[in-house]
Amino acid sequence: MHGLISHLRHTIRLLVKSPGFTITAIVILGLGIGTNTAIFSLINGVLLKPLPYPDPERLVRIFQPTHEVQEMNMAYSDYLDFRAGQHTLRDLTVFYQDDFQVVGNGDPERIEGAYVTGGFFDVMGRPFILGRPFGENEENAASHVAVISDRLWRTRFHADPKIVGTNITVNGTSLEIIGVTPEQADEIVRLDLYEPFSLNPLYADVKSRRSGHMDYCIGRLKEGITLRQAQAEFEVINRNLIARYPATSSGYGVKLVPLLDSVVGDYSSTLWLLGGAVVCLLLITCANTANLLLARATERTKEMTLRAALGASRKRLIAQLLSENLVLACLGGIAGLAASCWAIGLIKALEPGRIARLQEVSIDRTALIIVFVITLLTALLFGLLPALVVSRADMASALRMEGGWTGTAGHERHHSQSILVIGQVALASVLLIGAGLLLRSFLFLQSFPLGFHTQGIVVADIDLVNAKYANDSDRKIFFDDLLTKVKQLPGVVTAGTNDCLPFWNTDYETLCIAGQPVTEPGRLPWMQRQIVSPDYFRALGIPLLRGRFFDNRDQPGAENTVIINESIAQRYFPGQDPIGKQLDNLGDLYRKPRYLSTIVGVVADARHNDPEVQQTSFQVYFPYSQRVGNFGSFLGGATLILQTTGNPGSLIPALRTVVANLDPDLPLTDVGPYEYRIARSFTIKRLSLVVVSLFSGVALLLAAIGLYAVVSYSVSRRIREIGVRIAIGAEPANIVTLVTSQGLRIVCLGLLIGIIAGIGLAQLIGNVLYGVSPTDPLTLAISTLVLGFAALLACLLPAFRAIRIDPIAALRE
Amino acid sequence: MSDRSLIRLDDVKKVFMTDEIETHALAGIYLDITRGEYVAIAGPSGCGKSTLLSILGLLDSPSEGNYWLNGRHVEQLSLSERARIRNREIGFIFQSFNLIGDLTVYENVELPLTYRGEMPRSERKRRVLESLDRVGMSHRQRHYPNQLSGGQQQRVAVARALVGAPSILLADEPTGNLDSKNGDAVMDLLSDLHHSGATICMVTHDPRFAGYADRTVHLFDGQIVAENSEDALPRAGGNQ
Repeated sequence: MHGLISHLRHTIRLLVKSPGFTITAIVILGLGIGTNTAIFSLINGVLLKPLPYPDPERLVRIFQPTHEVQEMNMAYSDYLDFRAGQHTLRDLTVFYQDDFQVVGNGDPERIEGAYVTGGFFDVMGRPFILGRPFGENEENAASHVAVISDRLWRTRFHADPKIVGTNITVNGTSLEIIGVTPEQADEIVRLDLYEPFSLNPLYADVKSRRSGHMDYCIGRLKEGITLRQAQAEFEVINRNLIARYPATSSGYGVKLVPLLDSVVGDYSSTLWLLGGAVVCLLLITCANTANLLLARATERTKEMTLRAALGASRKRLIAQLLSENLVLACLGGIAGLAASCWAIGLIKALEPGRIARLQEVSIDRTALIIVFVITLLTALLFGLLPALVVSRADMASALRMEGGWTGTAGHERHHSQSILVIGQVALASVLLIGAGLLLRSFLFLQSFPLGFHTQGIVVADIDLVNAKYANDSDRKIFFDDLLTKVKQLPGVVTAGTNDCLPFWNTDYETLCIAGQPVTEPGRLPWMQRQIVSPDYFRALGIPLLRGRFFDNRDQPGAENTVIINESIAQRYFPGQDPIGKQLDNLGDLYRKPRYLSTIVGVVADARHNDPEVQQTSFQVYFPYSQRVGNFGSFLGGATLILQTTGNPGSLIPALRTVVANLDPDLPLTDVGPYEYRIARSFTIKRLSLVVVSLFSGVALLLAAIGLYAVVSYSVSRRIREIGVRIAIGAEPANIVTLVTSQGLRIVCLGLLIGIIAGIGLAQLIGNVLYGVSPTDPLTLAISTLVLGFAALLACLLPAFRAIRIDPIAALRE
Repeated sequence: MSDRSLIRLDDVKKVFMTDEIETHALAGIYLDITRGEYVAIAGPSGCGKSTLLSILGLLDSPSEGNYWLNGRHVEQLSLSERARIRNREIGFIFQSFNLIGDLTVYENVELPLTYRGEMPRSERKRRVLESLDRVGMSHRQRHYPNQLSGGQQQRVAVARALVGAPSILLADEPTGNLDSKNGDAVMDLLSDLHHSGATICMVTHDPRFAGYADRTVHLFDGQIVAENSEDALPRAGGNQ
């Protein structure tokens, strides 16, 4: 124990004696450990941490994929059949997410909730905080009951312990609160209110028809049953469904996916990519610290030799050096912990809640374990090589301090440093290639033409969920009034509405040209359906290519009209005029009112989503005057779009006043420039780009510092040689060439390895790239040039110092 | 300045500033060295011999005074021009040989020629082999310096000084790191070179070796205090 304390004291004395070295090493190690702790905390918190339900590995999400849409939701009638026919799941449940307006106990508020089937709470399995769940009886009886989330209970009801039994007014209807539950299925969609599925306004519709794939379906595997067994059983049931209902079920499959995979599947690649990037960074920081230790080895060699002369074995010397490095790593670990807190905060700030569970990530016990493990690993990684080199002391020559300037002393250290720098350059090159590819991919996505204007456009969401707007005519009157009034606001050029605004909402319907025979509904193409006001196209500047925009002719009772986009016109009406042709909603097939819509216009294509996720280029627009019933009851609202001149931000207070004058109880949400909303859809890509770019920037800097250290060290060893060269006539350019060529040889080797590794590793991130090949020559060239330039700078600094060497002083050494 | 004059120093002074104290290393040197001459600069430690040699070799500049080399006024030249003159006009021989350990004997001798970009490789090779031949080291051209004895290393250093066909050889205590046998051999080599026409300026504190020169310039406290011709000084081992 005493030995340990004295050893520790000696180590601390050594570190204090060289504050420059100590601070540099702690900062570098802190950077490596901190970024790794942050990213692996994110990976753990988002991808690996079990979902907060009992036996979460037994929860599965069930999709009904088609050839176009893999993650197709469940149709309610199919759910009933699957539930009745299966034996591998303990139970399965569906829920339909919707927006609800809550009044009372504070300001009117729009919250997100769901209509859930009776087995929902049992399948999810989280125990209630207060009260009880509703059961199938209450669901079947359409009882006016509700369960609220813990979050809503605390924020709106101040955690009132007597909340159960009280009433809450939701969408103008009074419901009895029967329970308070921890958040359920929050990872899929945020849910604060749970109502019986039978209260869903669409319940009668979805119950009667075998279509409408709108419900999230979750099941719980029975104990001892594997996912594969359940999948096989569901496939059998699905085949039976297709045989029984070929008109509606053909073309649909069934797919069971672990719930966690379905939650994090979209961004697991991105997070693992970040994980790979930080491992590269950690290795670079270790190499950098090892280089620092090697550069410092000269002063330690004599001490080690003396210890060896006094009888210390090499093993003991290595142990001593490693334990010293461990102290350094621990200090780096403490710095890293602080850095990781900052990094996690930064990442959370960059990610506005689109990655499930990310906002809950914090420095917890797991993070501390991660820090500890990474610190130990780091100490071993950066400490082993210097310990091996320094402990291999040549007693005779070291104690004499001989070897001469042309001797070979220090060559091993020099080679070790060079190898470490080659590694750093290679890793930095890999990171730069990765960052370059992400940047090119991001720029490609950003440069994709949207097909509409975003500058000067203000958007705001309005939900007519209140019972006041139960009738179609009330909704129409409200929107007509609203549009008329906002158009009169100063600075507003025109205004429109859309229930599925591009880059915000998505709603698909099957596309069927009237008269086209339908054999397999599941194989029908999908189209992006939007319900818009007449001036929507003008507000966003979407050009009309043929026919007309919607106008006063498109009234209820008149011929149903539709505007299609150019892609539909080109695909289904090549060389023809689509005006006057009709689309069929296949109502007969889906047991709902059938209607045909006549095409009255063709507009240019407009991008509806991030090009990476858009699943169909077909778009149709229906006039809100004819399908106004879909507002509120179907998607729960519409987005108001204002084309403005001047500063869009200054218009927002006036807009709020207009809405408040029309209905003071109506919340106006997500008000702001449209550009911000579009930017949000690129959040994950931007996050990975920013983080990987930061890492590659740091890696570049560290590699340059490492190279600088090696070249500087070499120059310091060659002062006399350089003096001789100057004496015999070497010009400054010759000396610069001599020094930089040595550094650049190392860089070229590192770059070669880095490019080969980069091309190999880029294949692994192919699925997060868009519009750029993993072997994109421009990216490779630019990354190489950037690294080469940084390396040149790192070599030139010592080279310029070398040309200032005084040959007289050097020769006298 | 006569046509035969190779080096001329006119009232050359060198002052070093150390902690605001002026040290006059050279205090008004007048020196002429003609072509083909073998001059020894002698004097006790700290008398300014090495400073004088550094100025003669364009490794340093005088604080005052004028320096003509080969008829050219050289004390105000740029770094590159000085380097070019060192490379073409001056051959250095150092006390501690100063061969580059990572280079072979051949490469060490070739080094000054590599700084003359325009010279073809074949010409370089011819000159290197010729120089090594003159000092009797051709058979060791592939060896590294640490594989040679001190005397052999100094012979290689002389070959390196000769390879560029310089106007003058500047030797700074060329025997200082050698035993007497090897020291004598190197001095004999320098004498041979002198007899074949080389101009040599050698710094030494050893009167035995100063005796090899045609003329000895005695420095004391940065000034030339005496000059002896060849006849006035005894050969090695003799008394002044």
